[in-house]
Amino acid sequence: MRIISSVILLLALSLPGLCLAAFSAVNPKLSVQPQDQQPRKILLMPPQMFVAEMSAGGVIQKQDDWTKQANENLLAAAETHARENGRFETMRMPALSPEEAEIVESHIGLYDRVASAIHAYGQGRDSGWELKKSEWDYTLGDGLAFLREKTGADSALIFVGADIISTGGRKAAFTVGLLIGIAIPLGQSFITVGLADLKTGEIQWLSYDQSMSMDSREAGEVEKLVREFFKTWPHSK
Amino acid sequence: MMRLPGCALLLAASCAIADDISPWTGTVDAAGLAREEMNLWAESEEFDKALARAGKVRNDPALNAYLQGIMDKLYPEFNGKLRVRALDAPHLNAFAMPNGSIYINTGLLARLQNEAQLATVLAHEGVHFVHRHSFQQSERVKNAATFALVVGMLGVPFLGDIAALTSMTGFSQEHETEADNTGYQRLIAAGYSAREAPKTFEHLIAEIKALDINEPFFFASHPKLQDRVENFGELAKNAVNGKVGQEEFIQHVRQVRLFTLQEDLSAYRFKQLILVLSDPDRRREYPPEASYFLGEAYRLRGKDGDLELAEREYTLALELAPDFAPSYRALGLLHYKRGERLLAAPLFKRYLELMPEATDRGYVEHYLKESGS
Amino acid sequence: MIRRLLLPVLLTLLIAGCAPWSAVDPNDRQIRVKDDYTLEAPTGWVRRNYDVFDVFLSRDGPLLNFIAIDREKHDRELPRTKRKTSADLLPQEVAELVIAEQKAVDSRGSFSVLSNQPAMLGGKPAVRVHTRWKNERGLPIERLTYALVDQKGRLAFIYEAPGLVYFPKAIADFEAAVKTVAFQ
Repeated sequence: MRIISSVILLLALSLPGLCLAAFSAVNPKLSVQPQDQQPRKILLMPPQMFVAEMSAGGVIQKQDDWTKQANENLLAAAETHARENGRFETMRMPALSPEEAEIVESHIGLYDRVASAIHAYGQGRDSGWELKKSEWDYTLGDGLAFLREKTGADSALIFVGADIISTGGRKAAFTVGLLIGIAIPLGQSFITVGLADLKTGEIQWLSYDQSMSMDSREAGEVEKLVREFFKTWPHSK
Repeated sequence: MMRLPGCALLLAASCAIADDISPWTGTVDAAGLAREEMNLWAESEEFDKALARAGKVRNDPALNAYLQGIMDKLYPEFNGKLRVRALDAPHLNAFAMPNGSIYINTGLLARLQNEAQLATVLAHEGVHFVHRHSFQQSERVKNAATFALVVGMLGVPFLGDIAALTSMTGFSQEHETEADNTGYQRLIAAGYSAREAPKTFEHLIAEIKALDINEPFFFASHPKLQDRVENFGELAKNAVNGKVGQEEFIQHVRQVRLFTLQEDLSAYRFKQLILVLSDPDRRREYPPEASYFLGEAYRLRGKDGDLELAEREYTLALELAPDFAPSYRALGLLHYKRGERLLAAPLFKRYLELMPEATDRGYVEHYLKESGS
Repeated sequence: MIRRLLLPVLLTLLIAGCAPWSAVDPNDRQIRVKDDYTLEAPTGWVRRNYDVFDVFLSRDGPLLNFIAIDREKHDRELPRTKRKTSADLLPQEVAELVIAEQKAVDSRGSFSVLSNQPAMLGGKPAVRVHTRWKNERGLPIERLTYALVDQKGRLAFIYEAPGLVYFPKAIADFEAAVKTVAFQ
């Protein structure tokens, strides 16, 4: 009986964890897009990912060099995937004026919220939110359309996430809340990727991954992650 | 620097000053920083950006230039590396980031009396940067309560933002004393009146005690406030006279003072308003429109006799600042609530003439209609 | 020991399994609040079943838009200004308190009042206050508040959404719902 009660407890406590396993959400329109309307050139937005270290003493601190490495790994992995996939090309964000940078920043702020909403409700799995399965209208609006003119890209890819690297073996009893409204236990990584049409702002696809073992500082691991992400993209080979 | 009674012991206990970290001498070589310090600088840059994006940095080039000019006078060899900006925030606080960003809240700026007092604050903050106090501390303050408090104060995310947290919650007692003493030397070297240094604290003690402020403020971290007054008093005992700079200070902070009066009023901080503006000496430092704000503060306090006091202040505001529209509305409303519609109507009309774009125009037009005008 | 352990666990699972949200039924949109008022909820919205507010609805997720409606007695202090209200407050004084409560949140950078005007709510004099602020990303957030005081206390209808895209997207739904308010 003790074993059964332990199992039930474990199940109850791990329910949120089960819900946060890797998943994706796709705009129904994307799945049926004819080939000539599929994204051809994707602008890689500056990744919004940070890497922090949690020491044995429970101190957490953002690590600038690790963060830069992780973000570069994400960009490089996306570029590699594009080359291998062959269906689209990528480009990095060009230099922006201060006004343009402000616009991009505020839209990334909006994306944080949209990604959180899609994650929590947009899949239509929860009771009350079934409507969202068929009425997918998540969008960033047309505020980023200037990037389409500036770069020739038709879509934008955005990575958002956090990687809390636990050194010293400390187990954290608390979670850290991310800007996108997800709480992750310390010592884990949580990374999302989303694709938005630059003309309309419509979110076309989102994918998430949570891991206890991934180290975003390692290029190979990030490449593997991005490959897994794109497996959920409707136009993957 | 922030008073956090629950954290004071933690801060003191966690301090371990490294003796081998040399102060900057004027050449700040960011490329040569150790990894740990580079992380602090990177965090500071992010914090700077978050404050700017949130619209917290005061958009007043003339004021920021004035503040920067004082800082450059105090630290001339740093060629503008210490960058001062005013923050739109009501708390009595100023803080320095590891990357040389120095912030002073408008709440504190409005309460100072002259340029020498402002220089005292800036000189103190400059020491935290020059002496690399953030980096010197080997432990960081991490408890959740502190995080929550700091996030609530400025509303920017502080996850892992050790630089901001350390800067805003205050340094160790030794660092704060070093900042006071070394900052004092800078004050004298720049030609400011040393006698103003203790006054920077003195005239605010009364306000803090009277209002029983339990919020972050510049003066109440280590060491104790009164100790700092005495310390500065001792330092300044034999000091020669220096620049006080009252007139130019008053001119430069005029808009900040009006802004903080409005902010205090909008947030119903009427006790602060009454405490400051009912003191004739302090009242003289404020523009004539201040009478309106004092009137409003009495109205909000609403004790016996306060409406009469409010009426007196509104009337004074009309005399001293006849083009300041809100005074007309305020006095008009007072008459309106008393049923004195004939007295109210011309005041409401004048308000709308002076401020045709008033966001509350709809109410005033309604009152005029009710008054038969 | 086992029973003591199983019961709370099963209750946890049961509560977790109870639907926290319900979609507004297009054929039965009326919400009735405690012998106080009724209103017609907008279609396409989802109501949170357990909430500190009397009514809490969202269309796309609370971070993207929400409608919150709450009634409080006069003698209950407002959370930030610590003020109490009364039935004889002028509408402008009600608006002043609406603004003060928002202003006292330090996290709201670039806070501004876009409009502040008298309004009617269910036939009673009320205020309509539109405010905006920015978060740490520079994302503007907007809030539209209808508020009034009467003999029962104070009542606020709030609509909040990011100023980019989402506030204008569903404001018509909110305004339409406000027009349907009828006091008992």
